[in-house]
This record gives sequence, structure tokens and C-alpha cells, in this order.
Amino acid sequence: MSIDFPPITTKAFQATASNEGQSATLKLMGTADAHVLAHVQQAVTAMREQARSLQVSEVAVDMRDLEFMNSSCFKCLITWLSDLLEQPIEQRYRIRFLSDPAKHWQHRSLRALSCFAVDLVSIEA
Amino acid sequence: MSDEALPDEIIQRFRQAVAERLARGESLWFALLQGTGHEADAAELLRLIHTLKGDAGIVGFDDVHLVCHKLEDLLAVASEVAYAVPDDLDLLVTMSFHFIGLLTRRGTRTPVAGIDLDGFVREVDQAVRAARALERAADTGPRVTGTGPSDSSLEDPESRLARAASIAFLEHLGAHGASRQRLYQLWKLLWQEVAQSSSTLLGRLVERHVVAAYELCAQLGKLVDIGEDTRGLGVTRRVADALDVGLLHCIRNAVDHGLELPHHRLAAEKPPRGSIRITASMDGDVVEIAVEDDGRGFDHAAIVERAFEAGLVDESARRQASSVDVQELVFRQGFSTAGQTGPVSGRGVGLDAVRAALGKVGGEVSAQARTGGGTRIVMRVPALVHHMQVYLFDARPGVTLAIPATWEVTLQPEPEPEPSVVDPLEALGVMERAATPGEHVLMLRQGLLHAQYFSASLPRLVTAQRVCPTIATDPMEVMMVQGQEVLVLRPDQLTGPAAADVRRTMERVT
Repeated sequence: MSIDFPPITTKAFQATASNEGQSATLKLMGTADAHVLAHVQQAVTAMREQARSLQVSEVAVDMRDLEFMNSSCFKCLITWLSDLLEQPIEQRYRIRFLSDPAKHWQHRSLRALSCFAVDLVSIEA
Repeated sequence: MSDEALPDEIIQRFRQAVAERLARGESLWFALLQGTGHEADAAELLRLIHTLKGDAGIVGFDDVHLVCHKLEDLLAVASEVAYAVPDDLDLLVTMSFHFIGLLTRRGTRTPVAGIDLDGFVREVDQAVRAARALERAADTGPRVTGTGPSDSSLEDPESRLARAASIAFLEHLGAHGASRQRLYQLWKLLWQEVAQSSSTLLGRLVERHVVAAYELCAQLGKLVDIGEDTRGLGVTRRVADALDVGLLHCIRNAVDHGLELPHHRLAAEKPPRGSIRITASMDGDVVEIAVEDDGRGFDHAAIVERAFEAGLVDESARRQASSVDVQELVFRQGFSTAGQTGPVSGRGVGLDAVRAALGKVGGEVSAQARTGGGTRIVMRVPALVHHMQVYLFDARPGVTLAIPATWEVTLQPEPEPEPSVVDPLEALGVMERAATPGEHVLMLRQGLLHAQYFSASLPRLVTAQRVCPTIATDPMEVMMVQGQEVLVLRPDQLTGPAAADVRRTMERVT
């Protein structure tokens, strides 16, 4: 079953999604700042709904082409993970962050986020 | 106290109170960040978390108590900078709220498998230390009003040159013809001076200390191989002076306290020749220098005993020595486990001096036990060239300025000319007010600070390279964006009649 995720395309920020088997991927690109907060929220919300309906075992969040994400947008990821941890164990899926080691702004925030659930969250650089 | 000892009703009431306080706390935090909060909101937030911490301790939710304590540290830092916090600090505060909620809902006796609380605490501690170090580094510079002269006796020569370079660049923006070219050349010359005078190769620093270390080993009858790999990295001269102190003490400690005499090493089934390795690497905008040895490592029991004698830990900690963080104790002033003062070490004036020296330049130091035996001291200092996010905008067609992305930059919808909207080039005195001001008005906000600038373009977020850094209290700095020089303004440092109108929200609350 294919993922139902219309790509989000703005001048500064883009989001696409795909799935294969039990895994889904959310790719975030460009710059996620206050101007595109609504689009980031839309992307994350849509991904969460699709992950639930497709019953995936893993979601990869590809941030390698994301130049910057401000705190307001990053909070969408915090809420996502927090809500995921409130789900029954059988409904939880892993979240794998694909990060760019050259984009150091990602490191501290993702490291701290992974502390919520080290068995569910991984970071790949 | 465990929740088995307390009635379930009390636990449930605690959980409900936590949920209410967290909701209120997040709302207050958001308001303070947006600049719509007041002093009373800040006080309420601190009170709220402090009360939550106390309640958590009473009902036995020790993990919640700990996270609240760390959240208090974060809020204290935020308060010190008028809530103009960097993004990562904002995120840690938000995560703390979520962590508290998560831990409260799980309870004291529910396994918290999967939660790395120690890891989160470490991230918070690092962020708080980094923020405090930056504050101390900024405080060492003079306050500057407008673009006038500052008390140059308080700055290093590179910072003064960088300011001169930024002024030259600013003036060239408003000049024409031959004057413009000459001022541009002046900017380039000054920039080159800054670049040449401000950098020191780490390899050269390390080399001096390696030679001294071999001599010291010979005096003490020890054998050593010292390797170094600094990868051609460099730091500013100011940072190099601080690292000099760090390398001196760390390498001497490794030789004196770390490495054993050859026969002791043989008895411990180690090669007779000890090993010291000094390496450097980049981690974002930070240079990490590690000094590690394969010696005896930290003598945990001796450190705790010495700390007890010095009054740094109490009797109960002494009895549970394994739980004491010895790797932090060794940085305390006056601490030393050497039985007597020797010519090399043992005065206790060592690692505390390293921490103090590095702290002054925005750096930090930590100690770790090395896997396989020995010690690893890690010093982290600002790199030679930093990157930062800035918002570019055209102050006039063809004249691009920038604002640091620590400011929230939004567009005022349907702008109308207001007295408080500033033409930045006119405010800086380099151009006359434009006949037709920019079609856009940028709303700048940082914590409780506000400003409004005319702009001929929409703002765009980019990464800039700090090639000629000025101190944090300078009103401007020239950075490179995609190979072009751009003047970056610090609106909060522009004061006086010829400057941006920066208003504090609190002053408007009456």
C-alpha cells in the first residue's frame, strides 16, 4: 500500500515521503524557519497519520538536505516523539534520523531528543 | 520514598498538578520567548518549576526532581540573557517539560527502560556551561554605543582590528567612485591583518609542550612515546593563550601523575614505555583537543579521600565513594592527591587553572577515564572560523545587510510608514534616507527586544562565515555569504541617536 503524502513545496522548504515494506521515509529539505512552520507541522502530522495507518515499524526522517531548522519547527519532532511514547507498545515504531555531520546544529538537539527513547530513536550521520 | 508508601490518591493528585503546571509553564515560556511576556511571568515560571521540584522530591519522583533542577539551570541562563536564548537552549527547555511529563506519567516504580536520563542531563549541563562561557566571553568586551570608539584597553588587538575593518567596510557602502574603492581596499587590508595576526597553529603550540614533556620524563626516570595529530588546525591567538595553559597542565599531569615508572608498568603487564597522545579535531564550530595517556588513571579512592579531607564531600559520599564524580572533583580549586608538593605538580593549581583559562575564551574541559586504562582530558574551544545563520535583506537595491538568526525576523503585513521603522543605512549615517523606503518592513524580535527595519527585499536565511569576528558587544561585523562580504548588524548593540530603535517590551508595560 502506497503512502498518501502530497509533497509540500515552498520556495524555502520542501517535504516528501515514501514507503517501502514496513518502513517509511520523510525527507525534509531547505530551510525550516518561522515562515514555514505551518508547512513543517503539516508534513509531520501527515507522516504521523500515514505511519499509523500503514502500521510501519520504522520511520526514517531524512534531514541531510535540511540547511536549518529553528526551535519552533523542531518542536514538532518533540511532540511527535512524546505522543509516540504514549501509544501502546505494539503501536510504537522506531524513528531513525538521518543527519548531516557537517550541519552541527542538528547534533545537540537530536542527541537530546534521542534520550527520550534510546530504544526507539537512532541518529545516523 | 516510594509510591508504594503513598496512597494512590496522592500520586494521582501530584500527576494532575504536574500536568497543569507544565501546561502553564510552557505557555509562560512561549510568551517570554516571543517577547510578549512580562517580568511577572518570568517570576511565575521560576516559582512554578521550583514548586514542582519540591513536590516531586516529597512524593519520591526523584527523576522528575532531577529534571526540574536542570530546568531551573536552563531558566536561570535564559533569565540572564533576557530570554534571547539560542535555539538549542529553547529546545532543551521544551524537552525538559516533555521529560517531566513522561517521567511523571510513568511513575517511580515503572521501569524507565529506553529513557537515557543521564544523557539528557549531560546535554543540559553542556548547554548551560556553553551559554555561561559565552556570557563571560561577551562580558570581557566593552559596551559600544552607535559606532563610536570603545574602551580599547579592554580588548585584544585582533578585536580592535576587526572593528576597524567593519567600520571601513561600512563607510565604503556609502562612498562613491575612488573613495569607495579606497575604503574597500582598506577593509581588505585590515581583514588580512586580522587573519594573519589572530591565528595560531595548534601544532606549534603542542610542539613546545612535547619537548618539555620528554625532558620532564627524563628527570623523573620515566619512559614515554608522545604522539600528536592536530590536523593542521588553528585557533585565534586569544584561544591559543588559554590552550597553552591547558596543554601545560594536562601534559605535565600525564607525565607526573599518570605515567608509572618503567618497573611499575612492567609489574602491571604494560610496556615499560608509557604513551601520551595529543589529538585535535573539529566538531562544528568547536575544536576539540584531547590529551590522553595510558597510565594509572584516576585513583578513585584517593581522590574521594582527598576531597573528604578538603571538605569537598561529606562522610556519606566518602562511604559511597564509587558514586562520586571524581572527574569533576579534580577541577576544583586547590585539589590535589599528591602527598607533598613537588617541583612538578601537587600544588593543586592545575586543572582548576585550565578550566578557568578556557572558560574565559568560551571553552570548557572535562576528564574521562580512558578505555583500557589511563586518562583522557578533553578541551573544547571555539574554532578559528565560525559559521552562523543570518537573515539577508536588501537595505537598498544592491546593498545587502544581514541580521543574526538569533533574532526572529518576520514581515509586517501591509506596512505603513511609522516613526519607529528605521532605515538602517540612514541610521548608521552612511546614506541619506531613501526617497521611497523599502516596500517591506522587517519585524525583528529577540526575547524582550524589538526593532523594525525597512527592507527592499524579503529576508532569506543563509549560513555566513565569520571571517573577521568582532566581539559580541560590537554593533556590526563583516561576514562572508557565498563568497561575498556582507555587513551583519547587531540591533541590540546599536544605541544612541543614529541607531536602530530597539525597545524593550517591559518598558512598554505600564
